[in-house]
Amino acid sequence: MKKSLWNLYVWQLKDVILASLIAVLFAVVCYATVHSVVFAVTPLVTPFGFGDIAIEFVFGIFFFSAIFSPYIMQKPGVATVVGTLTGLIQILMGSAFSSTVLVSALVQGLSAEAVFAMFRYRKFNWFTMLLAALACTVGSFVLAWYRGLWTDLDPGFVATRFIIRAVSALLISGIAAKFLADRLAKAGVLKSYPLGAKYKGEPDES
Amino acid sequence: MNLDARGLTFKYFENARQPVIEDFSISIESGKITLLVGKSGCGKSTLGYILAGLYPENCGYLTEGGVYFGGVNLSTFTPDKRAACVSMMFQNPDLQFCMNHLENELHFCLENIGVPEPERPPRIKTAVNTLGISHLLLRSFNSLSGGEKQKCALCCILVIGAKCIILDEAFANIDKESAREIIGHIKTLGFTVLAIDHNVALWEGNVDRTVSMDGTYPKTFDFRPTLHDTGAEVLSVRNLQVNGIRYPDMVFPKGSITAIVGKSGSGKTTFFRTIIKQCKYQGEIHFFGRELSRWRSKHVFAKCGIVFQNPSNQFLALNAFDEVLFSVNRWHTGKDKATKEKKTMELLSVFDLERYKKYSPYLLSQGQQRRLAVLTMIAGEQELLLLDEPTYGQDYENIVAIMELLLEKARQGLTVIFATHNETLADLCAHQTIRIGD
Amino acid sequence: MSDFLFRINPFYKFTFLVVFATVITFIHSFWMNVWVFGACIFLLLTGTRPAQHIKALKILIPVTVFAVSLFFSGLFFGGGATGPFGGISTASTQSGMNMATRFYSFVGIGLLISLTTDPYALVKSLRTHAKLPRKFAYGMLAAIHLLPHMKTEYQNARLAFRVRGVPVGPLSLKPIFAMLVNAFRWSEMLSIAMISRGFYE
Repeated sequence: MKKSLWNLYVWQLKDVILASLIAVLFAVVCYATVHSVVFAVTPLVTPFGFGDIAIEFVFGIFFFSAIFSPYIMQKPGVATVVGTLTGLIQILMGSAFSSTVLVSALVQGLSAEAVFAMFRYRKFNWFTMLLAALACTVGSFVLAWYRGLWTDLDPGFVATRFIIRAVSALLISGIAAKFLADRLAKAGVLKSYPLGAKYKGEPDES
Repeated sequence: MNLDARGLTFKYFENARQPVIEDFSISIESGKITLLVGKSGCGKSTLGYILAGLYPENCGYLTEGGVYFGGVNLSTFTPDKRAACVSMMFQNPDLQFCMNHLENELHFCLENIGVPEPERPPRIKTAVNTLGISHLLLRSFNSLSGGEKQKCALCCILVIGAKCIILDEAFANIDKESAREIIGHIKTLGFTVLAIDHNVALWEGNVDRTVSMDGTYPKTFDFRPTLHDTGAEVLSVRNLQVNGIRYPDMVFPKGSITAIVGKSGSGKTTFFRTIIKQCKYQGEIHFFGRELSRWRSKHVFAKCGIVFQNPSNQFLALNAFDEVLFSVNRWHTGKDKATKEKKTMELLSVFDLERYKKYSPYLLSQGQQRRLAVLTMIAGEQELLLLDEPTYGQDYENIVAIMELLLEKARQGLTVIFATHNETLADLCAHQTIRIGD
Repeated sequence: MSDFLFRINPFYKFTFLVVFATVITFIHSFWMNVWVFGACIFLLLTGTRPAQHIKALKILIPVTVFAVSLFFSGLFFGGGATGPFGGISTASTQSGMNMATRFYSFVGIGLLISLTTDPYALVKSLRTHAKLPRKFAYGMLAAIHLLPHMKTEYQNARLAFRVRGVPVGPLSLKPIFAMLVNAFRWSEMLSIAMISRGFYE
């Protein structure tokens, strides 16, 4: 009994390492995505003014780690820590988005955290996951809108961007993240984490 | 001081039906080397972790019994005090260090046990000089070989001042010379040792006592298959050079079994990667009648299967049955479902894995994972099979089972190349042994 | 030429730059953008070694591609314009210039962070100056040091699937799944190894 309460809110060493490893992994994935989009897609659509909108189609990748990890570990602070670390490692790797990625990562982590905190880290279902993805979209979008001078842009153009980003976030960081985590739980890898707890023990031998 | 375990009963899950270890006692005498043997999966590693005080603190439940160091229960120690009594050397040398190089790692160890910063350098110097590895202090761990990493691990234990070391298959993945050197150091430094090792020969002459966990003792290797004749050449290599490594000329006839031996880091894995077109090479590789560079990767993969060192990277399904079925499906597209499922069960039974058909591949032991990976490759109609350390972490029975399967397949025409550290195995089961990196 | 940027306390340098990047989020001025970027480049040229200058140039290539695309976004959709073929004006050109230079100002700060921060020194400094718990400091370093190992295992996983006849695209979930399995195993093994060396909070 004491053991399970202990696991609930305190970070153990292995949790810290796992959170950091997930951050490292997705920093690499984000870095690779940004660079392939910037080199392969952006130059083609730039002459139409759509160069900077191209990244919106895969924007959900940036929220992935901040939504995926709290779903598995289900304790306070995971979204913020993993989200921020993902950004920090990206900037250390020399991402093309540079320092914008760091402040955005913090805002995204906090947005996801707010949603999970609203449910007291007890309820993790489709609704929470999708809501967290939307929260990240809104958080990151408001920041980018204000910081990137989109206030000056055509409202229809900005609205289109928002919709693309939201759909991408729902698909990638909402649905795909939950799918992947559930599959990991079924594979029995998450035995020592809240999400995988019900898959403890041996499968039925029939 | 002796390390005693009295009446241990341990399970991984609160509601597990069968405990992993039941009412087991062992006494490890001060200053002696004790070797722990027993079949794969009988709980040797688990016992090692309990003796080091790492379980049940970090995983599982000790329902009865306790571990005593010099008469004091280990569970009353804090991790820093405990590390000064018992420490552990692990199987995978890549996953033991949290710092970038040895000097920082040693600082970390000393910080753990509360040594103030100014007192650390002399202790570090003494430890590295004792093991003769001062040249490794500032080299990045990523650039070290497996053997060098294990020497660093021993150095950490030395600097902490632990009296007792538990080795959990610590030499499974490193060459014999490095392993012998480390054993020599352990012996002269007078550590109290519990060694868990499938490869008993490595410890010959240094062991004071052998204890079996389940009453079985490893047999001396007497598997002597009669080797069949081989066919025409399917693969040959001449003047090969990859990333600055020069390879001897080799010829692989159809149906032959070839063992590749050499120190860790001598280029065994690189050779396999080259054959499946993952490395640029100079020289000639004649692959099924044509130069390798003129093959497309996709067609190479259809001819040639490979089992990697980390088998969990190649699993696709959520249970062992589906895992093998996937490969069966890929190669027997025309057949009906029942035939394919029967074939899958037949394959699983070859390695006694039918019991685990509903288990997730990731929940199997390392040895079982490796055997499952071999099955997924055997299921196909590939003509060439590459295996990187297929017998790593396997006990005698399983090594024999794997080699018998490979021999049977080779008789039917499969060409097998495997890399290994086990030279006895290479001598007995292979048509030819090729030594690289000399 | 010197390397004074490396000798500043990593924690203070990092905190200052992050706070600075946050502050300029709220200041919208073309000339500030130009000055910030100029100042950062000046600091880089005088405060780092040639190896870092080359790295900076490499990062600036994708940055410039993106900045150009930002300029066109502003040109076609900013300052009252409504598309590539309607209403390009001085206002929309100005809007494009603002957006592009603004991005460069953030890049300048980012270059200072990414080229002069050694993760090891930063974490060590965070321990002494920000009282970062040991658990977090060493846990993060352990994970960061696995980065090269992670890269090779990721490539191995992709290769392993291709060998089994499973095509893997650039964003395929399968190798990511395999990597996550590895991450769980590694975090457990590493933490056990660290605890066996006396790690204590």
